[in-house]
Amino acid sequence: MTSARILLNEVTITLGVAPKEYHALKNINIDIKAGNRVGIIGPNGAGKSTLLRAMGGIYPPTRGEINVNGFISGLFQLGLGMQQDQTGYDNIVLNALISGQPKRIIEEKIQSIIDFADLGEFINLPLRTYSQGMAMRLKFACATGFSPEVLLLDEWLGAGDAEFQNKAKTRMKQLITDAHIVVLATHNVPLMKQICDKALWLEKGQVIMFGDIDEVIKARQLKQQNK
Amino acid sequence: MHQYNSNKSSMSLMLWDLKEGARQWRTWWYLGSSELITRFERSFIGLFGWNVISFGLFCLAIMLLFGEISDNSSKNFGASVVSGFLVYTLLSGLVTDSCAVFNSNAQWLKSVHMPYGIFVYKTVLKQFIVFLLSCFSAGIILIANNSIVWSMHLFMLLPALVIILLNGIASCLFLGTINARYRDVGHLVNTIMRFALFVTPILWQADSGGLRGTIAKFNPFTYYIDIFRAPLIKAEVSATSWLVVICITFVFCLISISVYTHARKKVIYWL
Repeated sequence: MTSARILLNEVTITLGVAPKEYHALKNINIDIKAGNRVGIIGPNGAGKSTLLRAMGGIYPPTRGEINVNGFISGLFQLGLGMQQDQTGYDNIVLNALISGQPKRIIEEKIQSIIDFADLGEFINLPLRTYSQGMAMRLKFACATGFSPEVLLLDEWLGAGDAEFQNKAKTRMKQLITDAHIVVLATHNVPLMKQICDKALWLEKGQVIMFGDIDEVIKARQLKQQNK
Repeated sequence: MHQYNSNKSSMSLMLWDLKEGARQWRTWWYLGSSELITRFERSFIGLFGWNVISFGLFCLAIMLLFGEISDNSSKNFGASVVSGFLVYTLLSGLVTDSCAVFNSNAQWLKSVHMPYGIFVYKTVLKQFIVFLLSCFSAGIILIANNSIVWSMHLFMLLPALVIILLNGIASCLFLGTINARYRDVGHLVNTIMRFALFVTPILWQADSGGLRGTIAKFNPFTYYIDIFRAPLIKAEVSATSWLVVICITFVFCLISISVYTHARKKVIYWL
């Protein structure tokens, strides 16, 4: 098996029609290797979500090339990929099937996912009866339950109660020690510092800086002060 | 998915969608059946019951009304209306549902990289299940009325269904794609299908010549209904109908695949 890696080469995503077209991402070159935990920072509309979705294979690039090695799991908007009228249990099965897991593996892993989600009796109730935090726990359990090699998280850090955050952090650290990749976008810089070792600073669809997390954050603070 | 490369051509993506989508039959089976079942959640009579009752009552009413007014020359008219409606419901369900194939599944498409084919097959499967349930009640009524002609021709129902479902798949690729871009298409198709019900020989019979005959002749649905209805109640298989259907299907598949391939990498941005 090859080790996990994300490679973006001159990736550009153009949206809109000719006179009004704009670049959601412009000439992005990144190389993320196994074991890297990358935090994406940047203002709203910088292209963070688009970049994560492009890495997840959801948005095909207009130009350039994206190469991802490893089993990808993405957590984007909450509520995406959940059936409100189905039970938590059914949603786990559905998520697993959709991400292409074979039946045997699903049967093997489902109990550990239920345990991690820790929803008690609610696991057999329809999702619409869940609080937002519970739905999040379930989704996170689904996304990480099959030990993904590449985990993409969009604004998921800093959500949920303290207990969930600790659980999520522990699980992500475990993924990372297995030499897997985590890429996340967040506005919560202190929390990001606890998890990530690298940072990608994005603005207007372009990479301003990519490197050691402390250096990138320092550079960004410096720029903000100079404004 | 264990590897992703964005350099795949649209053509190979299209083939991957259809092949890999078919391989993951468990997924669309689960999605389709659970969507149908949850629609009847907390209903006492359930999916099976309500479909059978609703289509059964409908057929019964038709048999009573149209069986009554038919003269000797069209003894079988009630049966003809029932079986015509049966196929038309499938056709129109496939066509109208296929418009929303990408729009209504956007939440999945935007969350996981997966073969789009899964949703195409799911859409067709749902219509097919509903069709089978309708067949149950229509079958009982047709048999009770002694309208089904038991002959070897009945075997032709199978290829007829296969080719109709194939058209359903093509319809998803074609209408689903253009409706993702131009949202008027769905409404237009709805309008057309409501209109088509009356210009297709279901509630009337196509005599040769005359206005009705001409309308029926140039209406493709006439032939799609004929390949199913004729072997069922007339023990006939019309070579003309089959030829027309095969030709239309061939051209439709070609158009669908080229439209879909052309737009494959853009669809997600339209949702």
